[in-house]
Amino acid sequence: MRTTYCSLVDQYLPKYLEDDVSSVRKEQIKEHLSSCPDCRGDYKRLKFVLSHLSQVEEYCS
Amino acid sequence: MKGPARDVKSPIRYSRLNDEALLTLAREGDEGAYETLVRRYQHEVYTSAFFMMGNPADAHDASQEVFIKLYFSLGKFAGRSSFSTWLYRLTINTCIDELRSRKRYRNRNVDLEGESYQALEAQIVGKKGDLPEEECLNSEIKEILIREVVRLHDRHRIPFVLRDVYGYSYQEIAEILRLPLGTVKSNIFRARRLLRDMVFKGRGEERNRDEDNILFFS
Repeated sequence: MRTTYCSLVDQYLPKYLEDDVSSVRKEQIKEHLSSCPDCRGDYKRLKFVLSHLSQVEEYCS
Repeated sequence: MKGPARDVKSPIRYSRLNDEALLTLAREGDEGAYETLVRRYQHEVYTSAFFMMGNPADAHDASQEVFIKLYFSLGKFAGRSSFSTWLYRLTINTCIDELRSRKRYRNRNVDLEGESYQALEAQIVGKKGDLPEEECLNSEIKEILIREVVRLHDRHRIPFVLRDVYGYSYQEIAEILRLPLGTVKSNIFRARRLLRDMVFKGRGEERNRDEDNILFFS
């Protein structure tokens, strides 16, 4: 079940993906992702979208 | 034995010339060379403008403006980058100028379900026929991404497109948009999450938030 903490973690996911968070925050997020399937899914979907965006560029160049 | 007469010019096959050769001719006033450059890049310029402006009407206007500027800037291209890179930069700058000139810009996204959007989408994805077959397998997700990207509001879409589609650095984007670096980053991060949710959950919250309709360019 999604909690308020899940929403907070979600806000940090783009930064986490870019390794733009403190080491303490990084560990907190990592730990949460390992125990929360909802957030893990959000994280995977975010990575999926971003990985396909680079291919969108093919339409522009 | 006499060779062919050298004083008879054969017609120029513009399409066979590279960009630099066309530029040289265009600078000398060769309209055919200029028209060939326009035809060669009109699709790319339009697509870039569409991502930046977020709707077909403004993208069309911006594209026209780009090619007018190109005509009067032919002599300004210094060759420090490729012509295409220079043209994309001209497109981005033209769009930014247009958006900035509106000051408190009200989002003018048209009805994206309408006929004009269907035609536009067909134009944008029209290049897929030129891609290798395996690339077409991913075309559906690309089309969804394109459709959802243009639904993002300006404050999120513009820095996001500059970063994640065109690869500008955060610092460059902050300078282009004249916004603090922190604001640029947070808007891009927000855009990434919004796009994910729009693609996978269809929340559509982005379009209903009035406060996001106002672009806060300086």
